[in-house]
Amino acid sequence: MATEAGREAVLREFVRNRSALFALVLSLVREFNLAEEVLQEVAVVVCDQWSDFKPGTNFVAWAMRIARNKIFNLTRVARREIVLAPEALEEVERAAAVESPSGWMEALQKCMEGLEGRAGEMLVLRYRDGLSGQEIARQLKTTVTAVHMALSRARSAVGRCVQGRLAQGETT
Amino acid sequence: MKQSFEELVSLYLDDALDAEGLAELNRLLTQPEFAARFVHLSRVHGGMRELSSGAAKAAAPSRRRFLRPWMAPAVAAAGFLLLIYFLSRPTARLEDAVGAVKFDGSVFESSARGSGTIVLPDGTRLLAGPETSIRLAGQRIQLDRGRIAADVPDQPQGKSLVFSTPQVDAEVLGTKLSLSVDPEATLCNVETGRVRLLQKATSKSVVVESGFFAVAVGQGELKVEPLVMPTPPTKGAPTIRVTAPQRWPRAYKVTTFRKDSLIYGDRGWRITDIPTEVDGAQGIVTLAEDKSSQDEVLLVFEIDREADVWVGIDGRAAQISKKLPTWLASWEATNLKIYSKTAGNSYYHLYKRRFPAGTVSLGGNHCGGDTGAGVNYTVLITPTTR
Repeated sequence: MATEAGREAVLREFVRNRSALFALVLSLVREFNLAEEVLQEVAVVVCDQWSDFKPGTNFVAWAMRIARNKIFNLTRVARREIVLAPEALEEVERAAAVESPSGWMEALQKCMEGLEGRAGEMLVLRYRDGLSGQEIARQLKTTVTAVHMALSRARSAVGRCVQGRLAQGETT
Repeated sequence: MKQSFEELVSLYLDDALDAEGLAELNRLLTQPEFAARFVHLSRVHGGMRELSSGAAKAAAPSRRRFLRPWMAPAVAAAGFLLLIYFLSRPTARLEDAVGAVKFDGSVFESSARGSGTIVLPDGTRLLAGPETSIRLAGQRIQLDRGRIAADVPDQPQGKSLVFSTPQVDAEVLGTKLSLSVDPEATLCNVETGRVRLLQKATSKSVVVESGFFAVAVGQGELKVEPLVMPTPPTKGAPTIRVTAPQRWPRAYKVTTFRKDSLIYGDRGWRITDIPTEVDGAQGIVTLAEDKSSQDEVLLVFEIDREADVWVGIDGRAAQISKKLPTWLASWEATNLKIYSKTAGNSYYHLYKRRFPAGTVSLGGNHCGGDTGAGVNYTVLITPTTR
């Protein structure tokens, strides 16, 4: 029974940290489908090797070690390249081990709901439809540079909005 | 114009950052403060994808906002169900592995002498040859290099299996086929059933029926051709029947050789020049993957009357090693050559020997030791009256 409870606890940790892991993996592989695939592979390994996780240690750091191997394999096959330098990657992984405050995703959702007009349209095309900057530019009849600038501004605005909401403890 | 850190990260996440920007980003990220800001923006990026991709399935085309309040818990619940599914789903397994092979349930890699059979949960059998790299992702199978032969059971309506290579997407509906991939070309042979090939470079598609093949090379014309070229009746031509090797998918086939014929059954390489002495002759399409064979008996066929058998052996054979396959050593060197656009633009020296009606046995390319041949031999048969 203790074994079952331990396994369940690790799986709960996975579910709790899923978004943070996905974000970190995505920031390395920079391709939605590939990141989703890596995370699925990580889920399978977490289920198999849950007993290797030491309770009380950082789950994201542990899962990232698994993810790194999967990323290495899948990016090689998909001919993608990790372009972050090892020292940069090390610092990013250290920063990623810090948990997001509770209510983070709800805050993000609220902030996204506030986006309308051209910026909202671009985010829909980028995130919902998975289009590249070039494809969005073609669809909206604008330049690639304009799309990248608009996406950058929208992300920064959403990021600030999330921080603001969390600082105020406001997610409703 | 110097870009802000947020702009650098945003361009990086969109895979649009130039080398100079990347160097700057890598420099900044070694500082904890910037690394923390990077992680924050990455979480915004990943979170927006998670929330939006969940919304995608239900999205109405006319809506202006792309999120609804119920979506976050719904996505979380869907994520949990997805996790449960992935933890309990039937998985692919590896059978009959030979040599150095790696398979972790989704990624397969084989060495120069490795091979294996991947069995998918729906019963699909993928026979993966040497130097092959495969990635399984649901109904999509990525074949980056090497060769697979597939035996695919009937697929549910609207859920075709798709093999994706650098050159094509091959959509399958219940069939036996083989795909060979090298950096320049994909060869698709269909034994039974039908395959729709979509050429990625041109977005053109063709349907390849049973008994036909197609070769996709960059933007080159994608056309469907018969696996076996009909042979015009030639006076005195022997009837040829291959008896070994015959196991699927290693069938050697009898066909007609002329300029533009495929030289192997498992590569998209064509003959570019053929001497008149054997132009239009019947022959046996061998397999490139048998290039390393040291067998004393590899290919066996029967002829119903006396005939001249020609073997085209890689021009590199016997150059350094001064050694031909032992079974070929006593054949007559003709000084004739066949040329082919292979991976190394090979040519083949033709050797000839007359055989009486009956069984002809030929060994492997390296029978008796390394001959230096880098590609497999080819076989042509002409009547003695030619």
